[in-house]
Amino acid sequence: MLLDILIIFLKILLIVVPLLLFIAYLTYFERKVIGAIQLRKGPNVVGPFGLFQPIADGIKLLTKETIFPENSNKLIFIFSPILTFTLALIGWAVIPIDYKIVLADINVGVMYIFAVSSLGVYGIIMAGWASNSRYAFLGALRSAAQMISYEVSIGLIIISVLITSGSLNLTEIVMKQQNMWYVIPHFPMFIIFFISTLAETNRAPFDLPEAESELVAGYNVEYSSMSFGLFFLGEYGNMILMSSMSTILFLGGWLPPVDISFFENIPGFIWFLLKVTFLLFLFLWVRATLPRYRYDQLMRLGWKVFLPLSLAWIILTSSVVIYFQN
Amino acid sequence: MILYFFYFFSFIVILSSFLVIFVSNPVHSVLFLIFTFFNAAIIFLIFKAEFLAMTLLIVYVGAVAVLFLFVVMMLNISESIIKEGFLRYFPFGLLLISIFLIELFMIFNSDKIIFPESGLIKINEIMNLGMDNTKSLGLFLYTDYFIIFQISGFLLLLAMIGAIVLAHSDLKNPKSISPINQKNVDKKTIIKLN
Repeated sequence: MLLDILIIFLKILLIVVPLLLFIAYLTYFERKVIGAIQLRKGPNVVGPFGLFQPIADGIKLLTKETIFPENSNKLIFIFSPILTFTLALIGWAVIPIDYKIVLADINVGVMYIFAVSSLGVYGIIMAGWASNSRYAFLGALRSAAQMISYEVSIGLIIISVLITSGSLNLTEIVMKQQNMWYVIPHFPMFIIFFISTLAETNRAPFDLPEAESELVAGYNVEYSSMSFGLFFLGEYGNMILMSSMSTILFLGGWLPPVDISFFENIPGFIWFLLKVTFLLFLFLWVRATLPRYRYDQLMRLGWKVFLPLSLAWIILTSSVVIYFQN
Repeated sequence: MILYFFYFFSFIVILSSFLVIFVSNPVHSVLFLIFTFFNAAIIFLIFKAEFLAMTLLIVYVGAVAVLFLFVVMMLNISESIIKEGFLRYFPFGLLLISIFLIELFMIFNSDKIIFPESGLIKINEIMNLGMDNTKSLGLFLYTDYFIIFQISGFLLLLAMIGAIVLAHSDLKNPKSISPINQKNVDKKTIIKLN
């Protein structure tokens, strides 16, 4: 009993510690990529090639003073960044990074991740309310409406993938893609899923909750030091979680792209990492390229374009599946 | 062990649902409602109904309660107004509670929960196959309870149409601009030089 708990604790550490490192170096990666796109150098002072920049940033955030706004609701004010960060981490309990290398191989893995990502809105909306500030509150309201709208299309797209795979288990979904990755039959849905994950993680061009030109910094305007840091880490953790989700659903998880023995010899988690990094690069590329959406355009895109398209795709997918089953 | 977990989480469910009513701040009571949903999902998990637990989280916590919280935050209800209404609505609440209690007692006192004839056979089949509860739930919903399932879906559709009709009462003077009109703006007609 005690040994079991110890082993699970070690497994959790084995997932969380590399994940935190990945999050830290994702911020470095982002600054380097955007720097390269804008013909700048990016961070290059701290350490060789600026490699220690994330650590320096972390120390800076830790040593700053935590400020509580006077009329804020203290308990919820502290709780919301913790919630955001925790939700970004617990989704990893069911993500298979290689065949059978997963903490909990549960039957309803897809629904678990969907539930965790739909809970993410609470951290933001509670932060906005507890700060007792106009900017933060407006940012939180925007974010709540935006995340709920895009969850609808994400859920419908996940359903059409589930119809093709016939399982809610993430490992089984990947194993069903051995002959063909789902990105090929579901290509339009892959693109819509990617755009919806941009909106779900509040990334550019849908970063309206923190639109600095109108709302200063949106829901996290009153936060400082590590409480801000937790929001920051949570946002990047959510980016990685959603990228790995689309890797599993569409890009074949840990499977190599073609059946060549050379590719087979490369361990699966490296393929997984490569695919996730590619998707994250797309996130950063989009941020450096596109201007921010206007809010009514965002809502129109979610409800009037993505929702009908993904609903129609479900009908199409189920008809095709039933036709070929008989 | 599992039993103690059950007692623990059901105690939290009861405690936090009482707090939903008795806490003075409306936003706090919505947050306690969410906490109640969350612990109810854990009780589902204890009974190995993982599909129901996740559905509860996604539908109620992830969507319904967010909109609820959204509305309560937007309205910014003062605490005195809520306390005023307590005595007025109390008889109505008592009536609802008693109806639910009587229904619960009727269910527990009946000899068995009635299944359709084919349903009973299927339960045994599923028990033998060791199918997971997502599949067995689907088998039931889309065969024996198909009509009830469709009717409840239709009710939700009706509610949705009703909400849209209510929200669109001022169709004569819409504030939204069609994106096609926006795109077709011509600089000759828009810019005027005086």
